[in-house]
Amino acid sequence: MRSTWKTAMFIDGNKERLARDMSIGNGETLDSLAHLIGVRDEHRAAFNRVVQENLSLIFPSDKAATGQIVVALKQVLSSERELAQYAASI
Amino acid sequence: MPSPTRRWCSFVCLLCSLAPCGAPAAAYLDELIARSRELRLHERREWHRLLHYTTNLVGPGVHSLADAPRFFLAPDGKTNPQSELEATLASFFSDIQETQEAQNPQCAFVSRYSWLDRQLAFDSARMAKQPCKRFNEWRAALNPQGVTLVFPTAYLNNPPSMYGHTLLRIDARDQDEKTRLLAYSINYAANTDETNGLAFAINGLLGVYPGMFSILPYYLKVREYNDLENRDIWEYELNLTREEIDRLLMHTWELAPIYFDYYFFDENCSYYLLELLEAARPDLDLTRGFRWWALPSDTVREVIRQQGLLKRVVYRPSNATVIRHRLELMSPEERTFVNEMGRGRISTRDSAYAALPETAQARVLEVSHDYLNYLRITGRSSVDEPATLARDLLLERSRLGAGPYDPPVPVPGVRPDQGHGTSRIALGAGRRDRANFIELRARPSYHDLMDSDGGYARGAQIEFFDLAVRDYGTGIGPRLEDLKLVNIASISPRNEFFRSPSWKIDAGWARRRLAGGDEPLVFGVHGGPGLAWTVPDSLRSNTMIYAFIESAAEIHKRLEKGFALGAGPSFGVLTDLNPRWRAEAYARAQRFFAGDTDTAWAAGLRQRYTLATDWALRLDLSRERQENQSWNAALISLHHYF
Repeated sequence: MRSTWKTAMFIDGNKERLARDMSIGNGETLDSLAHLIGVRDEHRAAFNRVVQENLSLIFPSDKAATGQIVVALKQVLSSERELAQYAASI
Repeated sequence: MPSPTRRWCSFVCLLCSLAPCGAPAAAYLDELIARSRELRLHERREWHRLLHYTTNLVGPGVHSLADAPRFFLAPDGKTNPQSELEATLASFFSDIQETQEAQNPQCAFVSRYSWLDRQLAFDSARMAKQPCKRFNEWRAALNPQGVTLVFPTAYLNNPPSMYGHTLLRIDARDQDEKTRLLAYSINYAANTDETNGLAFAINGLLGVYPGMFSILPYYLKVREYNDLENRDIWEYELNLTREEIDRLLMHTWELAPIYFDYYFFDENCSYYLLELLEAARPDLDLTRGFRWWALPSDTVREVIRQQGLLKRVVYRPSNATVIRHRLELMSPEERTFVNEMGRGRISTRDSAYAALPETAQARVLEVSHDYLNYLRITGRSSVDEPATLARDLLLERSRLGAGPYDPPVPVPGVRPDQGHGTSRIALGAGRRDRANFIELRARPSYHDLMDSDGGYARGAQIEFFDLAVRDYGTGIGPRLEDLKLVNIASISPRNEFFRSPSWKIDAGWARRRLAGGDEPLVFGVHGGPGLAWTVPDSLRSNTMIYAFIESAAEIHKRLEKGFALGAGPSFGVLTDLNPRWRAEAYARAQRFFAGDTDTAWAAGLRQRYTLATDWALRLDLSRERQENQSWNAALISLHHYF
């Protein structure tokens, strides 16, 4: 069972690092987020690519609130075939 | 004095008044107390560890380092291990139900309960075992599997942090190398909002602040140290068994609401972490060597000295360190782009930048973003909307897809626990003003600009109680040559990217030549701001030059008017001729304009040759002028660090 408040708290405490890692498609903070959401190894590459491609949606402005980021991330994952299963864990 | 039996009965009656005791409960409590006395449990090292008892400096007996009254169940618990143990046993009979605000003593003092249970084999039919839901949920959430000792290194320009810091990290069972950020940290720190470094240092020295343990997600600490304070972090993974980790967590749970008076030197962050580790593994004796002061790097050394305790060391560079490393891998052209872009002077639409190959663009964007963050956090960004610019850079980067993936920052060859010892003594011989002398010098801590930098922050000098005694062999006998109470300098070379100011301050007694030729010991405070650069390459070089404006205030009854105030410049060049050999050429002048007026100056050459980690040779040559008298001096000395 995934703890969604833990994920939200993690996003809240790591916004700058997450944005940075997502822009590169790689990084320790991004790996930790993937782990919290429960993304399996075989889907990690797709996860990294998808968040990089949709950075402007996930972080819609430079003052995006945690709630907005969480919702945007859910939507982005939902629209990808193999990653939709993880949207519920955010 | 009441007979032992009568005292015993009245004692049990007192205890029974603390907890609902029916006759059977009272009888069982009697039994437990009797057995504990038979086994002399109150004298056991484990019990003393759990209560943080330390032997009294003056007189017999012990006292606990814990200062919160709620830590003690007996009125004299702070000084009486036996009555504390018996009051603890009595408290376990309480039927207080657990709520969000209150716990049953079995849960609030879960590590005491666990240890006493193991010694006395509690019968749950005669003393109900509490479920301790809050503790068990907390422990399950941590999901512990390992413990890491974390050491953030010094923070230049902030003296109280120049010794570094230590905290513990509880590693979770499902954690791997990529998810260390998700662990939880146990941190002991002074509980205060004080941001003024000097006020913190003074209050910390006097034990004004309460110190408390806090348990926070590790990623918050990494952000604090790596990103906000630009401190490198070293993670020492330890080998603790499951029982040991359990004991550590139980004891942390007990201590969380308890405060200990925080003392900057001895009862500080590092000292209490050693006590936690001792609670985990009682046959460790880590705190014994730290009675008087506990420097974080020394406590780390002590821990990893223990057979088999260290598993592995991981290095986590700070934002500033990563930026420096990546800048060095870039061409001068790319570096210029980083500087311009990070300062918001050129945009991503700049034509020269767009002409770069994509991997170079990706690298420029990444480092510009990190550099922009560095400027923003250190208050040096002049960009109007740094957050907007940061987002633009990241968006641009995300459009480029895969990146250059520069190699990681190389792990420094010398870890903080592998540098020279923090105390130093030196034996030397020399000649000054045509008189030969021998010198003995001792310094309890810590590091100066001429010492070998491995394991220390380069340019960070912090010395306390540096004392030198010389015997000039003129038949007068040895004399105290100088005693520096404190000597701190922060020398930060500047370049187009990093522009911190430098500064220095020292206070203490030194010999000062008077007009008549005597040299009394004069108390003085000196210090001032300065600038430093590395030459010739602005990013990495073995040579540093500095310039300071220093002011001086000296007092002594034999000075004209009893004091002297002065100011003047000082310059120097510091270079590493090879990894073992450092030389510094310096010159300074001081115009004393008030009190005992004088124009004084000094110039010289210092050299240090490293023989081994804890041994070095020094050669100091100088010429000085005070009160219209000049003289030369030379000293060769052997330094030993321990």
